[in-house]
Amino acid sequence: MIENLIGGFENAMTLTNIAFICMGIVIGIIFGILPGLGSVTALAILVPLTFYLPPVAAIAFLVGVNKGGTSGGAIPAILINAPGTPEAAATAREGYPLTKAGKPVKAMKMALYSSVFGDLFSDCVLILLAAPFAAIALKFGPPEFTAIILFSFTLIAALAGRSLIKGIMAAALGVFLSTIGLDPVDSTTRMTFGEVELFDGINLNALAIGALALSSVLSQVFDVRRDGAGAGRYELHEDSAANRIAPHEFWSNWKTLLRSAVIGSGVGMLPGLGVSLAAFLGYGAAQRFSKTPEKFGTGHLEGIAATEAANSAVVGANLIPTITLGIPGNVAAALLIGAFMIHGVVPGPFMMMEHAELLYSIFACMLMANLAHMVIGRIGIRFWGMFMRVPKNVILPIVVLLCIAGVYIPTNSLFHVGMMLAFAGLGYVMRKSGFSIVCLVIGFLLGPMFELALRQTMLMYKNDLSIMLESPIALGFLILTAYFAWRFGRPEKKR
Amino acid sequence: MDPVNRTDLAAAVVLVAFAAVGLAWVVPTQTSPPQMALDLPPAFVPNLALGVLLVLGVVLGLRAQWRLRNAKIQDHDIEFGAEASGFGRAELINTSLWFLVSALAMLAMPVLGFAITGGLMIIAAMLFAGQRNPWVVGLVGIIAPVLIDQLSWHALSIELPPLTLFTDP
Repeated sequence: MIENLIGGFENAMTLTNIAFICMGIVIGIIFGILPGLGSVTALAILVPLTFYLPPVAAIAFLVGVNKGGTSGGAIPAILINAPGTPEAAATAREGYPLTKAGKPVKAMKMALYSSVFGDLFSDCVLILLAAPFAAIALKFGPPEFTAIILFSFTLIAALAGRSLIKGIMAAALGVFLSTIGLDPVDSTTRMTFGEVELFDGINLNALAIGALALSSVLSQVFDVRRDGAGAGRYELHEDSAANRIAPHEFWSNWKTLLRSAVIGSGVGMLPGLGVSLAAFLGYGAAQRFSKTPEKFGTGHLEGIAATEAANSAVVGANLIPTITLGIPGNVAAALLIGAFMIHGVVPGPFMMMEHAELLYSIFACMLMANLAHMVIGRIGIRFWGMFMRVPKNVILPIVVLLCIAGVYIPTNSLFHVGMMLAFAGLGYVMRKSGFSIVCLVIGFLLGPMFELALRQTMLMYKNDLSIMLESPIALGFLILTAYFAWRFGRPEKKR
Repeated sequence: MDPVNRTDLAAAVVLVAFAAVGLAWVVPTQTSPPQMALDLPPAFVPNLALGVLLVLGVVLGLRAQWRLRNAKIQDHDIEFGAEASGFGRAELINTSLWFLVSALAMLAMPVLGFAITGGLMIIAAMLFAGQRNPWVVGLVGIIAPVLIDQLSWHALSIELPPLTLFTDP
């Protein structure tokens, strides 16, 4: 394997490949920053453009786009509390308080370094352990997925803060909203009222960008008007050292980084779970295991590290089922399969045998992309920091327009734009009422996954749910669910 | 009266009503019976979600009422901090204003297109937020939507809603 990897680096280290990797990362970051777009939209648009590129350059470019797009969403999340992608919602929770304290650069650095760490970890998992991990992934069926998703619901307890009741209510509303559309098993309509645009359900981007990003922008615009601080800017801390991250400050979070990278890699390996779930699971786990859980939500660097490491770790791990089994881990991986096939490579069990040289060149490009991501991201932080000098009453209205364009572009539908605007209003009401929007999004994400997995289990095992207790993986997650539900359900001890 | 507890009570009433209408009318009339004997009915998860919302809404309402009677002040929310200050008259006006603006934007965009509607929205938002420099308002109001519109077309080959006011139906 080492010889193959060295050979891969020999093939990959050309100026062309390096240039395409860098270009991919820059484009990915830009798409990640623009609310509603993200790496999936970028890949969908760019895959056909790679037709005329050599295979290694094409895949390296697209992998760079995926990496940049996943981490780019953290930038608006930190700077203006308007996450560019749903998975950056938890980053906003920690990053924006740091911006208000005049330390946006520190938050962006932490997000970048954690992203690169998570990416590097999952790339190493991919390179070293793809085949055995693919075998483990095959053992996951509907009962196991049901148990994992049930476990993920306990996140709500961790993220609901002081009001567990309101958190669960928000999640229940999210679950209900997720059921609007076609039934996932028998395709009958549910709560669509005959509206064809709702057959695919409520668009995740419309809900997440509206409720998370646009509602935050709205709230800030109203605050600016109320306070008469329109010409105010997001001020940087007087002491520039406040925006530095010392190596020990970063590495003091090594347990969180490692835990989140493992979570992200685990989620990435399992088809269908998605980047957003990894981000929330990583954040929730960090809060659970932290010595200072009360600091989460106040501008805690550990929270940023947890989210960004987890969501970036999905990128590399997603390629494990993609390359070894030909099963895409998520939409981005499915688009990458399309890219492979354009270049005459069919992902699947024989890919490693028939295209070993190409594969190891791609692995080498992925490792090089992490270094490029670090350098480009670091340079970019200075550039994004310049936006802090623009008055709030100029930048916030522009973000409103970007949100509208960002939701329209992937869907070509004004209906979804209207939904986004409506969810922005709902999000504003929830903010003022203290109902967790993050829990709403979690409920919306987990609801359909849980329903599909549960119904598949019931159909496959003829309504005999005891299979959940017979499967060691499912039983393990059920026990964890019960434990965390008990631990976070009991009243907090007053300090 | 503590605004947060008052808001909780109002939210509880609204959400309980929403859940009750959902359970009694929306879900039964808008879902089909199960198509397979072994499958869960399509109404199962919506009913479960609304049921949880209903029960917890009642609990929230009772808790808020008890706190109001006993003059208990709520702790600040963790996710939103001081921003979760309760939903009062000002917030109601803000929300109504937003829904009005959204409705106007949705009516205008298919006719006036993204660039013009977006420009009007940006100008209105900048003026609302206190920007008074006419050069800034004018330039940003024109350049930003046009730039986004043109980038979307030339870079992504996606046309944002065009102006249709002067075209034949």
